[in-house]
Amino acid sequence: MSTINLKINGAEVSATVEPRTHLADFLREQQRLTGTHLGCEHGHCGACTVLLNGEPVRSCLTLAVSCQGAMVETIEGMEDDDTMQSLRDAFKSEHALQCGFCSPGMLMTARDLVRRRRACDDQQLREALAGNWCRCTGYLGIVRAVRRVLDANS
Amino acid sequence: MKAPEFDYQYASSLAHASELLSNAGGQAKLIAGGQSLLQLLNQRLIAPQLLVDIRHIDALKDIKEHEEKIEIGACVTSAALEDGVVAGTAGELLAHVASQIGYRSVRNQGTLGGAVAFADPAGDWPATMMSLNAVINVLGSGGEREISIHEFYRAPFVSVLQDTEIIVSLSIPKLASHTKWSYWKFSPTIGEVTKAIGIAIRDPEISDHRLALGAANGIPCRPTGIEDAWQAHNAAYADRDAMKRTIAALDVADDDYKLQCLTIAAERAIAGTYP
Amino acid sequence: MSTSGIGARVERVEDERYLKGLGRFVADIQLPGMLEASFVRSTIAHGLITQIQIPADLRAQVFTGEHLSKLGSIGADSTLPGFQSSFFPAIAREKVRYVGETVAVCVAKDRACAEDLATQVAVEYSPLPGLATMTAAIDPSAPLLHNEWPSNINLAGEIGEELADDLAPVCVQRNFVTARQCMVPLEGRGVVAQWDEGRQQLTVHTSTQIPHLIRRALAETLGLKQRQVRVIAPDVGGGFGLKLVLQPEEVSVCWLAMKLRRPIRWIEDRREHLTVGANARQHEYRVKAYAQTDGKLVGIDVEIDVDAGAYSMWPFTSCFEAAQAGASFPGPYRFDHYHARTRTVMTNKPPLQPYRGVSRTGICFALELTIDALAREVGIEPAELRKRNLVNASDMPFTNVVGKIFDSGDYQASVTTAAEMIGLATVRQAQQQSRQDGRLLGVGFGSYTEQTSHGTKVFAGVGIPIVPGHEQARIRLTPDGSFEVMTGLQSHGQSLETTLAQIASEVLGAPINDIKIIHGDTGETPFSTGTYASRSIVWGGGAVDAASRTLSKRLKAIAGALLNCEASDVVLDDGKLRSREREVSLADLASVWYDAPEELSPDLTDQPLEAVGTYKPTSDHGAFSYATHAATVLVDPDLGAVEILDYVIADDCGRQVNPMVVEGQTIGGTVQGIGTALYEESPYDDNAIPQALNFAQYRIPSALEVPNIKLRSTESASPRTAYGIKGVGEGGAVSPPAAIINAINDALVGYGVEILETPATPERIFQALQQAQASKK
Repeated sequence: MSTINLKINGAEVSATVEPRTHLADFLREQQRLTGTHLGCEHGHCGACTVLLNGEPVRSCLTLAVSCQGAMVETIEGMEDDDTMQSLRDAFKSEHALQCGFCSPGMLMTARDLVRRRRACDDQQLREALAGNWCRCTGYLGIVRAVRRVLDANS
Repeated sequence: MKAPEFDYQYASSLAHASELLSNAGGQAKLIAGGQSLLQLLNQRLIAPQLLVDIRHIDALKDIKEHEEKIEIGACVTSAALEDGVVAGTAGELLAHVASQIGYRSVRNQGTLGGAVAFADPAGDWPATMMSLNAVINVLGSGGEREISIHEFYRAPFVSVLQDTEIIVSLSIPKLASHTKWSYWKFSPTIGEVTKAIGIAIRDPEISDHRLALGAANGIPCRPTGIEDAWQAHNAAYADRDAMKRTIAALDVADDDYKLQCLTIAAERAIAGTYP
Repeated sequence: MSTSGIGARVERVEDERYLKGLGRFVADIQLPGMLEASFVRSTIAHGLITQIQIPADLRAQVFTGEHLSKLGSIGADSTLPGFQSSFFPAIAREKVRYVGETVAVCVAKDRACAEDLATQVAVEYSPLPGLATMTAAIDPSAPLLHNEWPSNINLAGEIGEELADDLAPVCVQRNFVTARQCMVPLEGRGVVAQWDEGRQQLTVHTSTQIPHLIRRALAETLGLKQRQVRVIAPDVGGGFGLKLVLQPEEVSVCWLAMKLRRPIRWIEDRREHLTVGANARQHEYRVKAYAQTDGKLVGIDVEIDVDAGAYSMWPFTSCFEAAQAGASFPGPYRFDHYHARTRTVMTNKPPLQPYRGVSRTGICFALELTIDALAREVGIEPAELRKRNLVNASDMPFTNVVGKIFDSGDYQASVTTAAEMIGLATVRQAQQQSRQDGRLLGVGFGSYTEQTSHGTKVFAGVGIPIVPGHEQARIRLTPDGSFEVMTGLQSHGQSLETTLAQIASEVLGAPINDIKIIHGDTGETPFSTGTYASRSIVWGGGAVDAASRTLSKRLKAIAGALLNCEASDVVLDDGKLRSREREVSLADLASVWYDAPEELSPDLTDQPLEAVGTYKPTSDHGAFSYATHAATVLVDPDLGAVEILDYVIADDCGRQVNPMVVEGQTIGGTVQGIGTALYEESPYDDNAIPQALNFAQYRIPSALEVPNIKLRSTESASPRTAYGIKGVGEGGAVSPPAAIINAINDALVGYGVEILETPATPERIFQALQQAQASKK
């Protein structure tokens, strides 16, 4: 077991973790932040996407123990985030979710895209979302929702 | 599926990492971005006793520009390369290749050195490094050594790197600004096992014609027969049958379809350098 | 009157919690003292278990089939004559029949530790040949999966009599194969079970589409009364059919919770899903279609084999899919002669489960490719050939060749619309011109009619143990004047929390935000067979409508007394009850009834402000939704790669409760169908060992592979259902393999080659082209 100190959604956290525990399990099981979901645990589906030091990462492919000193943000930490609020509104009006399981990861990736790239064409938008899988919507609502927020920002 | 148990050590410096490896008796693995390693661990396909974490070592994140070459630290991420941290024509090529690797959230963590060391034959970086004639700078218990990328790989997922060695950086000879390059990758869906990669580099002024093929049944390769024919042709070379024969002779395609994909990769990568 | 009633494109009430990461899925549940389970699974496809070695110090944490030997079979039998019964143990005993079958279960403080235990359990087998294909399984020398059977054929069926070879001047003949695949909801399966010894009560949180049926099955299997079992399906991250059967793991986890008196959690991981979830779609078809020279269909003769895997899952059985395939193969077409032979064949693969569209995706593929082959044979544009043979709108209701009675709609118009949307004439012109980049353009169509919301007699006819009768719903006015609606259905993406509220809103006039839909919990809701077969909005909606109407009458009576008017003059609108002159809010009415009953006459207070409604459609044939999908593709003949250029849908699911939701269901299903058409496949080697165990090997579509699908809908109300609603959940997934692969074959027409198999991977297309070239030489 190792002790790590890190910031999660703005709060200082000190915890002991097993080396093998990945960040997603640490957040879900030890911190009870269950908005971060596990859809494959091998880096393809994107349901576990969180921000590590401001950048989206796969929390299933990140060891919690390696997050010593890091800043981690999850969907639960996005309450006061304007970009996230715009995305949430757009996701509702474009019916960009059905079962809702992929939504937190999808939103974290979409937020990164919107903030990192003010303008992008549809192909680039789809490439940016390609690492977050949704089995329900067929993506068209998601693409429209993210497009709506991108266009409003540019 | 959860990873099996292992120990973890945070290496504070290159020397520290080297020491940890030396003491581990071959049972340790380095972890940098971890994007391939954790996939294997999470499927219990490997069971190392110890992971030595080198991602925080600043010396591994340097990018140094020399007169003839650029030296890129092993822990520079694909996302950084995508965002253009390396200047010049080679930097443009690296940025493009990086943008084609998996997903941004993987590129944010995955490192150049890690990908080269992992030696996935379908990976983007090994074939790219081969096209760029990269030199791998390695630190081992006996000191530093340089390994040409052309002598680095032995077999899929196997390189000449020893258990105690660490890739420190990759030196990439610069490309002249008028150099044309083309990266062609065939993957029916993003993120699946790539079927073929072709990278062509053409410097017309010094008649430099390079072609690297990746995602073969074997390590990435430079089909010199095609490069020579292309150079002799000195124009958009597209003799598919000849290319196919050359690739077939290299023994890097286990079946007809792989041979076809690699042939088309060669053809389209070369064509891509004639915009 | 309601602005959020039927037909309103309103935002979903369930969205907020998901978008904030506050959905509550099974894996999110932690209970005090909870242990986690991991299964030891068979690594061989077929064999006898000779020994299971458990380290002595782990015996309190590892359990095998012997421990569960008092439990009965968890499988289901059909009452159809000839059906071969098998014993399906929750954990294998003596014999394993597919890779991934549970052999033991391990419990520990967390999942990682439970997996560590599983690696220490050594299972020895005496292997038998693994039967990877139906061909291998029906070979007379094949070993039997179930020793007491005469062969590995589970059930054979026949409809009609063999057609004469000279039935018509034209006959096209094709054989088709659809690959085995996984359903891949983003959330896998999962169970948390807790046993309360004092109350003798089992509480089970499970990711299921059918909580009431799971309660029944668990009670029967575990020897409990149903009142001792409460099943709760919390938020469920997609189902698609994966979660509408009793799972072996559900039984094992409940047994463990009772045995160990500790809460037990098991969460399926993706490797498990891709191994044991490879359970859908695998069919083979041999089709002969007879027609006149003008392309008019005369008859179809089809042989259908369904690869049902190793066991018969409860409740839909192993033979449901073949029975449905035989009965549904005639599709939306009109012809007079039909003969079908069906076989359900057992192999050493995971037990078959009904996946979105069930057999219809396969039969649409086989039938629609046959239609295109016929069109080429007689030289008629495929879209035109469809129109010639589809049932006429003026013939509705129409009884087809197997006696299905279609209710309403204009099937031919859907082809016309789709052809117009895809620009058929323009595509045909473009095909004449030489192309710059060497890629081949093709266009394809896929039409279907889907029997949705079908009822009692249809299910009884296939002999399964569960037959839906009347659907029930309960509604109550709360003391503060809002509504709670209880349904035994389960919503896992279908948007029922919104659309059922819209139906209640239509009747009760209250805004949907004041109507809470409670679902998925056997402790709180009336019995329902659950969410499947595109039935929920029709059946559940009808029941909510009925309950709402009953309650509405009582509310109007009370309001009449409060407003001094006739009950019949009261109108419910926007949360108020209005007479011509005055109004009272629902809140005030509730306040009087609950808090000041002395102000009301006894004949108004002795009727509950809670009502149960029941419903079933007026015909068990159900409501037939239909559509024509069309696609244009570019095929790269060098690589076999396919790009979908354009994709259009002309569909009709009757009256739409919420057009936004209907679009979402259709597009979502269509993209799953694109996966079936081009990417998704669970291959097995000759020993029936699965080959696609992770997402690098098993591909589902991402945003990058999906075209901008265009949709145009009509609404032909069903005369058989409340408000004319038809089901829509599955339809999108039916046509894509047909439309896309027809388009590919159209592109390849000059090569004299057809793709007759799903998925149409680049390699398959390339190999077909190679063979065509070789045969020309």
